[in-house]
Amino acid sequence: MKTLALIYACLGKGGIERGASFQIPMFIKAGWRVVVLTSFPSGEDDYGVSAGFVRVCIGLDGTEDRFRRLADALRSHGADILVHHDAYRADVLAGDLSVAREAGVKSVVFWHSVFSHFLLRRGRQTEAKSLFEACRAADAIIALSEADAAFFRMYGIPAQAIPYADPDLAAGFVRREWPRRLVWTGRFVELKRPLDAVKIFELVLARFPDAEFAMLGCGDKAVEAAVAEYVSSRPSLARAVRLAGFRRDVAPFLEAAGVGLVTSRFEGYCHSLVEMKMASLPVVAYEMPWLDTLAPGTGAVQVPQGDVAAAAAAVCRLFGDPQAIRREGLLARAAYEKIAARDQISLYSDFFGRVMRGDTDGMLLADSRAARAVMETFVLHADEAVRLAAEDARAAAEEECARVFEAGCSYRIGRVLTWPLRKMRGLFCRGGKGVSREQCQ
Amino acid sequence: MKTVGLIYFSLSTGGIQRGASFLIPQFVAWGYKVVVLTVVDPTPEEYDVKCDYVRVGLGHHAVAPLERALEIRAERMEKAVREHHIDLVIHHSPYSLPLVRQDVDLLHRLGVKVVVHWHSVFSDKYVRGDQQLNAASFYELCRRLDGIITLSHTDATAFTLLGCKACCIPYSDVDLLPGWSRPDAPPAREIVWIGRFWDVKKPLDAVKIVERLLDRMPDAHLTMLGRGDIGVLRRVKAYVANRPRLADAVSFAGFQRDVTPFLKAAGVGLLTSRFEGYCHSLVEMKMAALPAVAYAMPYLDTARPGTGVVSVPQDDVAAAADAIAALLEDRERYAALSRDARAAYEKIASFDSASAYRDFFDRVFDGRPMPPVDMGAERLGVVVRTLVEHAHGGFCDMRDRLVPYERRFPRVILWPYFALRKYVRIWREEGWYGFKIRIGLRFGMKEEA
Repeated sequence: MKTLALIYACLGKGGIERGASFQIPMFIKAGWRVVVLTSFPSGEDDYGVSAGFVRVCIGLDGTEDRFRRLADALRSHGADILVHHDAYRADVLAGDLSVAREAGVKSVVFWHSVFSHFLLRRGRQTEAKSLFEACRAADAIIALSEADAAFFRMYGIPAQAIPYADPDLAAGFVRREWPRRLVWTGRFVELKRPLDAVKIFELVLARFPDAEFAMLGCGDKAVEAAVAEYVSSRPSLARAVRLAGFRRDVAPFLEAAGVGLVTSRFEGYCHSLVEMKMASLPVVAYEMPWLDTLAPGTGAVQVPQGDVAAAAAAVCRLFGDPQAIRREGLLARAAYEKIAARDQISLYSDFFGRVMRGDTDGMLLADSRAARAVMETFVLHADEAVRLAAEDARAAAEEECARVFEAGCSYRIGRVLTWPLRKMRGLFCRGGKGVSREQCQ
Repeated sequence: MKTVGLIYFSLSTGGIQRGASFLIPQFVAWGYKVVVLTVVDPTPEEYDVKCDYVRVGLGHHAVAPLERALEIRAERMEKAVREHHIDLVIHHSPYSLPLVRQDVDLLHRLGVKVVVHWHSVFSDKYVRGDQQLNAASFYELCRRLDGIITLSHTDATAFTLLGCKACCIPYSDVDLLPGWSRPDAPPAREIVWIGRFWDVKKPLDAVKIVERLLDRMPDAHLTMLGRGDIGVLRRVKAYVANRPRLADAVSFAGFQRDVTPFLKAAGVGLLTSRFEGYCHSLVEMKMAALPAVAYAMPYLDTARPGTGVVSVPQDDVAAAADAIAALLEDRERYAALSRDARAAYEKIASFDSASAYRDFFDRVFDGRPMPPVDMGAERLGVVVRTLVEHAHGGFCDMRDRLVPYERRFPRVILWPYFALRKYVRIWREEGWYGFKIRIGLRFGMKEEA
């Protein structure tokens, strides 16, 4: 019997943890012992994971204590393979993998996102290379799409795509109608662009005044507040949009909806998308050509990234054409059934067996089709990254400029002189003290 | 007989133009009629092109308002195509997207096949760290071309993966030293660096390498050949001038049309480029059986192991100095690398460019696919690692360009003085024509200088 040590940041909220909630029971069912090592202790928002595994909190990233606790856990539980699900910081990953190597434990990095995701993270574009280099210390990589596996293979690290096979949340549910109800599920963070989803719905609402929209999830408080503010400041939206917060059980919302919406800048797999397919929901998504789950003929309509009008038009086309929405809905369910039919246990048994034997050379060959997808994805994301970097450069320069001026004497004198005017503006404008110029306008 | 049009920016200084100096005669010798279309008018510093060809000026886009310059370029190009019955154009200056887009549209409308000769590495767009980068649009334009000629197999693989019709046809540089063989004597402690003085070639690194080498070999000497950006040249010269022990150890020979005396006299060649597409300098070193120490560029066919080149990591000045010292101290290894270098050049020279071009042109005219490129694991690995490395370098550059405001502030105040000083120097060093071009480039469109 093998012992798997799985490193996660936590077990609550988010797609990685959603995957853990059904992967851990699957491994236990397959007869493996599971030790879950998390950076954070268990919390209220943890997904319900049935008992049968050991959980050890190894502490926050990058500290000596963490590495010591990790070494102790690996030794005391006799781990055979370490699967790292939190590969987002090169120093931490390198440290963890080094501890595993010293303990004689094989290590695997589970790559959850698209390989090029760092390019799209503001201010973190330069971290990608060091993370890829840190991954070299692993015995193999598990990716969630063929394009991601191909990237790592090309980079010289053995990799295999083992996409999730999410358990059916809508088992037994038979869809008979597709109401004009839109659903969006995800974390409220900039990368998922929840505000875009609201703007898309706003355009849909102009065409179909009876349409409704449910948004599920939580996240960054500022993003949540921006969405809530946008919705509440528009009466028509306030009536039709329901901000339902984080829900452990999303099935009732999916079953009640007619079309699913995904507005992410990037995804590595996207459980939300698969869950929508479970409920026979056609999905309108921002273009992510590397995602196997958005391939043509799987009940998904892709529109260019950030193109709110195109997304709204796609939703309207589905809402306005009962034949098309039904056809796409059935295709979506069929695509999910194909996903669910994957025999995950034998895929993992084979993969772990090869890693244990050191037989990973076969995981280094990338076919030219996947290599093309890698190049296209890289070019797409690199252009976006340059745009973001240029934006950041401008913002940083402006901030620096403001900081220097605010520290100066003339700025302070100016503030004193304009104090009465600013006070009056605060009194007359909505929001009172601290109101921004945009709000005043 | 087919008529081939070759678009160049100029025919003076630089690797692209060095290639032109023997590619144009080769085309003529193979039986093609050649029309050379250049942006820059003939200058005294141009490479000698000894053959019968037609030259047409396209006009510099920087000496007239942009729209008018583009109109002039289009008019002249159309006239040249009609007058000389050009069948196919090879674009050797595809670095400005609006210009190339206009050229491709015009030439396709006139029924002329358009091929880009890509002189740089495929990831050129990323490694420069240009905030105006629009690589997706550029690659999209490349897909519309009738073909892309690359100078390395890695580039051909990369462009093919990006959906382009790419084919690798490396140069077969004419032997500058036929019949000459390196004497079997202890290698001279003379290091030669050849290239343009601009940041991408990192000439200052070459000086720093020699500075470090002086600790182990006080008689080492560096000769730097080439010209380029006057700011970069001045920085390098200032670095040397401020260090007394470098004053005798570094010489600046400027631009030299004949580099052979320097290659013969040298003991080691040095290459400090951040990236290259082919690197004539390196091939010229091979001609002279000169072992070279180079910053790693694994995508470059001319810098592969076993070709007389010792690769050290990019920017690793200490490793480069150690590699030079080790090479000069180990005579057996030196002799082996020297033999490898010459053998590598002879392999390059034996490449049948005529057949390769004939086959390529046939495929372009017949609309047939290009020959299959190497899609092996090693090649794909080089492609993706180059992409990651170059994107990383580009983003680091972008980040580093965020100069803190406090440091920028004095420059902002003194901007008129700096600008005036810069353009007065350009006017004095490059004359009225160069001055006009620089002003145009600064306030008009960016193009290679």
